[in-house]
Amino acid sequence: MGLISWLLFALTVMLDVFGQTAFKLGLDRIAEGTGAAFWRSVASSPWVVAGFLGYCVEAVSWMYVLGHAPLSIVGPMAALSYVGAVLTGRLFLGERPRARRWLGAGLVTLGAGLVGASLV
Amino acid sequence: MSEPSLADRDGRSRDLRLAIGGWALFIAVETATQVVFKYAGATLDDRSGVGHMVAHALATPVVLLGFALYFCGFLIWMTILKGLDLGRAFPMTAMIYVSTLASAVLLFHETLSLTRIAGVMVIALGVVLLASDKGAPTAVPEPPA
Repeated sequence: MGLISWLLFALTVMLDVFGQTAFKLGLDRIAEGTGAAFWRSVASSPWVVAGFLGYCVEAVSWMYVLGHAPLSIVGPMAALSYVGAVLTGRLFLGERPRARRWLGAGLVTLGAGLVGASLV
Repeated sequence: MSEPSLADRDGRSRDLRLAIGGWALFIAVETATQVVFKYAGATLDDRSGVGHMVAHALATPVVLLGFALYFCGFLIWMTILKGLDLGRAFPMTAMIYVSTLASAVLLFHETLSLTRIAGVMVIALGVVLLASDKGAPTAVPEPPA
């Protein structure tokens, strides 16, 4: 797995965390609505649009990484975006994770380290 | 579709079936996306420059199929996220990594070392812990936008 793949993997995870956080920020600001009205609100939310643009870049980046690295390495390691989501949930969404969630985030990080180390 | 009283009575089980069906559909679409992405990504070549690579990608059917699946996954995810906290909904996507590992072995003939399997199990345990922290209050006022 080359340096470009690792860099694009990091970019993919960061854009995923950004997108998830932006979607949630956007959806939290959308009033109740169903059907076409809901999707119109989604499409006109700046947060959702920003997250979606990030997703577009992420798609190309992730496609490159998957095409040039083992799926059993980068697939599970993509769970690192859970850790990022716990952090942004705490920092930007007003969520208050309990010890269990922090422990889970720590284990995901440890597991991702083990999976990455299995490449060497 | 049917009369209101029937809809009321069956509303709860219908919601449950929709939720389970929604998750099953989401995981199936996400797994298919990764498999198609891996086939598509192998055709991407950065040595001739990013612009050439993107132009080539947009003219390759398997790449476009991958993007179409990716967009379907996005729409399903939006629907799921509408009704759940990010901190709850996001970790539940862990199931994707089980099916991803299976496709790595079955479709791409990757071999799994003990370290790698142990690492994935630790990740899975971590995700289960994340997912089971259901009671984390989110009632704290949002920071100013």
